[in-house]
Amino acid sequence: MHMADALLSPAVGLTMCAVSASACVYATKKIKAENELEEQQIPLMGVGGALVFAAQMINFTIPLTGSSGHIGGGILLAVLLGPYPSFLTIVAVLVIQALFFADGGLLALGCNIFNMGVIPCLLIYPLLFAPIIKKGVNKHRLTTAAILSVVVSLQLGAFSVVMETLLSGVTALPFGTFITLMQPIHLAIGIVEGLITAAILVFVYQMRPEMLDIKLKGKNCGLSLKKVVAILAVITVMAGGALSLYASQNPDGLEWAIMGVTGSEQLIANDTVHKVSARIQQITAFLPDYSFKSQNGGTSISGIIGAAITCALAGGTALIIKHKRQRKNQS
Amino acid sequence: MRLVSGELIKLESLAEQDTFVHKCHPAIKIIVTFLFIIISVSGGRYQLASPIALLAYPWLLSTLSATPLKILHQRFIWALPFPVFAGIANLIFEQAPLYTLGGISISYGLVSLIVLVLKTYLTVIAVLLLLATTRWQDIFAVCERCHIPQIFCQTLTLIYRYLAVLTDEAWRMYHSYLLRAPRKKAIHFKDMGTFCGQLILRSFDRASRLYAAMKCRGWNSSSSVASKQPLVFSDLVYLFCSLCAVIVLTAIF
Repeated sequence: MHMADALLSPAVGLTMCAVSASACVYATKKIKAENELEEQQIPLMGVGGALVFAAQMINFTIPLTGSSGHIGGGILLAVLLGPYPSFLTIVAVLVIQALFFADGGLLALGCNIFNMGVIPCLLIYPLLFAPIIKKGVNKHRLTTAAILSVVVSLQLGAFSVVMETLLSGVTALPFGTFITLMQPIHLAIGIVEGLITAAILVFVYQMRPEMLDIKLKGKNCGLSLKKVVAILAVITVMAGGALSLYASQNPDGLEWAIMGVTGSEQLIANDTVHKVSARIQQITAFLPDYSFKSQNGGTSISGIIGAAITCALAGGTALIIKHKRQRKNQS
Repeated sequence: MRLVSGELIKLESLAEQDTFVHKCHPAIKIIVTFLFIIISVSGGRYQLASPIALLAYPWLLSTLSATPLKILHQRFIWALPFPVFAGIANLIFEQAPLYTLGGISISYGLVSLIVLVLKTYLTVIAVLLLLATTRWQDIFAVCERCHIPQIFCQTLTLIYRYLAVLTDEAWRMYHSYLLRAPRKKAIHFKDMGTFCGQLILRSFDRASRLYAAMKCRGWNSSSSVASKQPLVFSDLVYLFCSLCAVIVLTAIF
């Protein structure tokens, strides 16, 4: 689910960076204010982060499909470390993945932190996981809470990816088609990941119950189930209303997309999301009115050739420097 | 999985070199990299010239910093799948011709696919070049100077330091599992909970030992682990020249 820099416009990327930075500040303040973090927990956060990293490297076979996947770890860490420490740990993991493993990017860091950190650790854990096991930890509650939390986290994360990509205007995929592709795939992944997270938590609960009990027993974690259900109902009604408005304008995303394939360019011209993002990009684009630009919205052939020549010159210069350096080293 | 420790060592050894770029202040390199990424992704979906021209920057920088591009290109492939997926969608949905070259028409979709791949290349290589020319501790020092909370900085360092150890442990467990299950290519779904659970228990036990060892060596949660490098005039020259080069390239194309 890691987004790359190239999939984002600066406006969306920087806005999400600001949102995620605020979440980081909030989590840090909460840790300090509630004195939630003992010094002994800092190495646990380090190890927890490394563990999520290692767990993401281990692929497991998905039954009946012949394909494989890996776990995300947001909910798992939240149960082991608590919501705020786990959030900071996930942020640290994402920073390392972006810097060292080209998984995500610097500009996309804000989006990735929101999709994989804020949603599972700061929203789903206190609003869904904690209320389910509020009455006490047992195998059944752990399993139910883990599966539900992971599935909802992944669904919301996938929805965020769709919105962020569409608002950036880098893809011609219509909203309907994009969402139809993303949500079911992540539902399948979420169920498998949820089952694995549940199995891990049950295993840890059986072997070392104190590791979970510290975080969950006797602690007023999150809202009551009734309040959560009410909030979710309101969100569902609002989202349903907004989406139904959208659906009434564009009844079938796929048919609409096929119209674009026929060459009418309707897809580009009439897509509200792209219009809005194009407007934002026009405002934020760096030196948008540069020369060599052709009337058809692209770059003219002369511009491309000129750029290629510049690139070739730079490459040539690089080769000369390299050659000279090699000769210098030999002598 | 074993690649992780190898890759980290590779990048760390590259960052230890002694070129002009390596000597620059890390904060300046971070600023240049971030601005370069913003400029790279700012161009429109069909503006091909700008990303092609910007290729000059990472290629020159890799030469100046004696960083082999081959290593960076291997990492770039890891970042490709999702942008390519988005680009292929454009290829399908945007078939109207944008250019015609010798009777062959090039569609909007193909141009946007190429632009997307080029942007991915630029942004990924820029970040990797930053890491290949800057020591991890120096980036860490910049984080502390920017008042990023110490708890976060320490978590980051601990994860980074512990990563190789833990992935090695996971790798050993993974291999012993596969040796016990000869006809399986990966861990069976039903065993994943036990496998990861064992890894958690082992890791947290190790974390306790690690903590005890750190305390024995005088560590406490408020200790600073980074050294500070002063900003010199040549750093500002580097910032000015890099930004001018990128802005001029973008302005022309």
